[in-house]
Amino acid sequence: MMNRRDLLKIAGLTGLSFAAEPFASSLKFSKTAFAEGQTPLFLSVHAGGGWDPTSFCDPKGRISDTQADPVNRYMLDDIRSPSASSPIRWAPMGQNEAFFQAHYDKMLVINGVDTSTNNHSTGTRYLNSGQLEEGHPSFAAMLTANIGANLPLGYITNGGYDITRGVVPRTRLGSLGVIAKIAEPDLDGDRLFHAESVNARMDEFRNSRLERLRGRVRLPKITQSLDDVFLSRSGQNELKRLNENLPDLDLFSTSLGQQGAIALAGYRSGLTVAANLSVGGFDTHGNHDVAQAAALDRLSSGLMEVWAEVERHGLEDRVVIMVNSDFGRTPRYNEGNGKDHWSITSVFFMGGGIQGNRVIGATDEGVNALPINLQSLELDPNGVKITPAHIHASLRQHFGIDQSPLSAHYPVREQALNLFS
Amino acid sequence: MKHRSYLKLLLPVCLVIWACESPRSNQISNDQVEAGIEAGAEAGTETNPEAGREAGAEAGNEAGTEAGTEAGTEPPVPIPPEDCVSDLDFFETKVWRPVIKPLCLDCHNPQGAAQSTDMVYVSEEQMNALESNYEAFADIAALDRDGSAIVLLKPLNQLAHGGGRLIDEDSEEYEALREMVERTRAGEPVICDDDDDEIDSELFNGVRLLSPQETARRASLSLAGRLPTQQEIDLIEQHGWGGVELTLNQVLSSEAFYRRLKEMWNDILLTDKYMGRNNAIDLLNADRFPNARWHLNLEDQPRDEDYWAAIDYANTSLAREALEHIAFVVRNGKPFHEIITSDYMAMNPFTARIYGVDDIAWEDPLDPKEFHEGRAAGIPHAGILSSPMFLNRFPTTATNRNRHRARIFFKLFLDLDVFKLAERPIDPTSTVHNPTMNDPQCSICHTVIDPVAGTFQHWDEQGSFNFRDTWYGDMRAPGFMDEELPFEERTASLRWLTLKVAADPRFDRSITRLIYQALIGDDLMSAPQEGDQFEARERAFNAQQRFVDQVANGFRANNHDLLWLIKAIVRSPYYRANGLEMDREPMAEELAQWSNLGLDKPLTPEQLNRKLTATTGARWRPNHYSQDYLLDQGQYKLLYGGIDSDDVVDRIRTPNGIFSNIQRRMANEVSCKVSAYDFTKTPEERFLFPWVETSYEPIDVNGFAIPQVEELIRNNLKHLAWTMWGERHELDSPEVDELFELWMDFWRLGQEEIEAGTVPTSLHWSCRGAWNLTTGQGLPSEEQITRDDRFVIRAWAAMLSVFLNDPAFLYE
Repeated sequence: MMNRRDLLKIAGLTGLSFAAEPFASSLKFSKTAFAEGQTPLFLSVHAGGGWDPTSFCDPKGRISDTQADPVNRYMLDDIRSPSASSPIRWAPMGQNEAFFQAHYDKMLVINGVDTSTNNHSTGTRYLNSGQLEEGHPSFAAMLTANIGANLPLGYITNGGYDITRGVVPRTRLGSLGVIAKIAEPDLDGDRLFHAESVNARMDEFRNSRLERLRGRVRLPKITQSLDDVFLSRSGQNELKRLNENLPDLDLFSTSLGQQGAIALAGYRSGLTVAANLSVGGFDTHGNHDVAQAAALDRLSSGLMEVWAEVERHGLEDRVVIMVNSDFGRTPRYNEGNGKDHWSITSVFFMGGGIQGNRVIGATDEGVNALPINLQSLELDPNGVKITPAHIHASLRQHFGIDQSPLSAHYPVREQALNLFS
Repeated sequence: MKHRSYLKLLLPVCLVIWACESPRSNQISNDQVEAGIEAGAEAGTETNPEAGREAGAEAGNEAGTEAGTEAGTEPPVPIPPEDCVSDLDFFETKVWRPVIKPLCLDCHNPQGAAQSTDMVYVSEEQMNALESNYEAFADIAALDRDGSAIVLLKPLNQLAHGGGRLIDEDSEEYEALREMVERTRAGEPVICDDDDDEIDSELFNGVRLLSPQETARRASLSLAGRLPTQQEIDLIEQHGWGGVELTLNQVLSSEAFYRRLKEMWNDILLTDKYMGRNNAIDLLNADRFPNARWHLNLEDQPRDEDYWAAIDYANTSLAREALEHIAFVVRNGKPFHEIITSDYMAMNPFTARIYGVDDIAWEDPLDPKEFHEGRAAGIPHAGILSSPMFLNRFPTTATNRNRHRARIFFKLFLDLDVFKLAERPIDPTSTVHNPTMNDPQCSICHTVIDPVAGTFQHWDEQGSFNFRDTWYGDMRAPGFMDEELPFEERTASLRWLTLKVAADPRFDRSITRLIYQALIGDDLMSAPQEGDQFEARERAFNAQQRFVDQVANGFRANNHDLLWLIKAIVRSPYYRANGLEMDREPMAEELAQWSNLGLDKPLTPEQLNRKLTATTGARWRPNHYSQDYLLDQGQYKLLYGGIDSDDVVDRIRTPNGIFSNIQRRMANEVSCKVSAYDFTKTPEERFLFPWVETSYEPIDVNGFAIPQVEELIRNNLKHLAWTMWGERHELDSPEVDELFELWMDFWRLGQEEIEAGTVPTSLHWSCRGAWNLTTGQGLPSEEQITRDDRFVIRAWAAMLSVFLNDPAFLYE
């Protein structure tokens, strides 16, 4: 298996230095752009367990009270839309109304996405890496590797699909009451643990010893682990910047809101390129309507807190949010009033560079994906079904990393669509 | 090039270097020392070769008989290695990789267009895929049409072939197929007399392996959170690997090891999710277990310490019952398969009461650490599988029908990730009736898991035993592989299943793999794909596979003794590889063949916490009453990559900026807290500074060196290099020279800062030796150390900080 050093070389990054990279010119975003705050922050929000798009952004109401085996129990007439001209529609469940009314104008909804699986881990992987089989890093990891591989907090994760394949380290920052203490590891209150000159000599020794160890062990795995140590140490002082930008997390009522606030603080500190945010509870095999609505409420109220934080930072044009799940849920209720796994799902985007108030793709009344024309993106019986591979090819293009060597190393099998503009 | 042998023909020899017997005594007796020495001498370095030969011969005879019977002939006589290419090697290198995999596999697989033909190959992910595919080829190669092999006619399209013409008659591919057909028809398979063990041993030439002492140190710290005792060090010094064997026996009989064992298994079972409050007890069905809440119904009981302890013991005991059952099986020397086959559950007084078991004679009915075999009325136990904790952690639903539980069962105990059988797109619009039975894209997995799911049929969504008269008619019948559950076994169906599985070699391999992962921190290497240094990576892969197979065979030959298995892995090159020992730069090919060697993961928060205590004698925590920083989810446990067994279930093992800051803070805080405190003890009691005193300065006030003090400082640095880093250095070695120079720099720099007035002569209160760090009690004033006029203590504290924040300490 290729190690990170090799991958960084492939990516045109030198791994541990800031030397100019040969491939930078082919990328839309570069480390330089990142350093100047010109790159976006990518937030990947995962609704864990498999959400039901028909309870959210791809509503299917029943025609009458007597309709047998309905997809949902709410009525067709109760499906909501912001206006007659808007393609955005939502199910009359939970807090959907508040969420969509506030955000439909910035939302790009993609319905009828065919994940080809009803397996949790496979679907999550496909929707977040663009490949059904094991082997690809998440898009968030790919993006970070391309424009911030040497950032110690480049990729923050709170769960979901966060496989990196070694191209970047991932950092878990979910519970952060103690960040202030570890942001200043040399301070004991307001004094240094060790005298300043002693500290400097310690650091000098540590660096030279790391080099000596590297020269001594030479086994590839251990050498890479020493490189990891070097990389992680390079970010020690930068945590202070994160700490300075962190808001009071107690002000957030949702876990998703807190996760987003930390990621935004990381971005504002010049430390973070991408983050996985996650919220669970969507695997509603029983008592679907109540449990799914509760999970969707956690998602939508969390997203509203995240977006409020985006606005507080004034980053509406810089933050791109992708929201997805494992797959969808069956177009019928099971014997336990639940819904089981279904391979057709939805994905939506919002934020910088995303043209909102749009819906691409659709499902029929049985929640089967309908094909689209890959050029016009309109429904077309002779077209093809949208897959996560299409979305990822498009994402890579949108973020300008589709021509990077790393993208060539981890190719997606479908062509990019003009989804975002 | 060497490859994996036919498993059927593989003699499961219990490798001499991974001794086959498992002495269990906790005491080191003279007899054992002698036995260890003798065995070590006989094996060159290792113990108990006789046991190994016996077990190997026994297992080998069985395997040989089986293979011979199947072939209907005597086992083939191996031929010398010169110019020998075995059939399996030939198949893999000339036929499978260049021909079948790229040209045939897309259709000729269980889901492909040619799934209904006589030639179906399995995915490389499956266990023994190469052997299975070779057999599939051999079967089809025997068939003729008009005097020609069908398998040769089809790819030429000379016989109707759905895939059309794929190769030409004068191509290398055709020639390879032709020779393979000839080989399979020759009657006698070609088996080369190559010595895989020798080849594998050569693979490690140039790799530095830990010495016996270093191995014992790594294992002691990793498995019991302690350093080897001086007695153990001396024993190893005198008796080499015999001493290591005895040290490991001590380690593996300690209570600390059983804590580690439970921690390893919680990473797999994740049942610690139910720790705290009544989280475990609330999972139990009150109708089925009316005693479950006995401790909550003690209305007359005052809400005192005993009351709260009872609540805590009850829930904790129940939450950890599966982990305690595993520990019980190992502690009592039972075959490890009893973790799933036992018709009892390990119970302590608290769980016994919860389950209404009242026929156990307790030595202390309030001791949560006392365990006996318990049998709850009306529950057909099957070890941990019938535990409500396991069943709730891996839940089912009315529509899931125990398939989730079956999948986990395959993954943990049969080394099979069912999902990998079907990593191909499905078509949701397929209209096949009852797809799990009839649609190939579904049945590929369901054929495997549904029968096993059926054996869980009496265990409901709450994890309670609810006997069902009938199982779903639209699902495959309960059973295992091709065998249906016998009618008379249907009540204890799970136990029937587990007894089958315990006899299946995949169980041996599965447990071996889990323990390998737990000890080494990595999964086994994946089958290499074509690319740079393919052959070298393949060598590494094959050697590792052989190692796992051999250890798994030894595990069975030793009656599933888990301690034997752990020791076999600890003594192996995979656990001991620690660097290279060669004067030249390694070649790319060499690096590729060593790509799976070495422990490269930082210690988990739990391991690091134990190591801190073992090496410094103190715990890292805010104060005497607090939980340790690295064990507290509200502090650093999750930030340092740990799990909470609920939402956060996979460990982060690649360091990031947060790790780095926590390491630095740990090194600073611990060195501050413990340095002066260590000096308050007598030299014999000290963990850190047994060779020096606070008054020992290497240069006197007139600027003259004091060689005796320098030697003592060097001795102490040597001591720290061993205890903290596991590095053995001579007093005059370059490494100790360098450390001494560093110490001198700290000392001089500190004195300069004192003179400049930038640091005080007194120690900061948090760094004073004024409290007993174990009890939290203040020390008598005459024992306290509060000043450091000459910066000696702080020079040592800085040294300690360096030792603690170093990869050799943080990684092990």
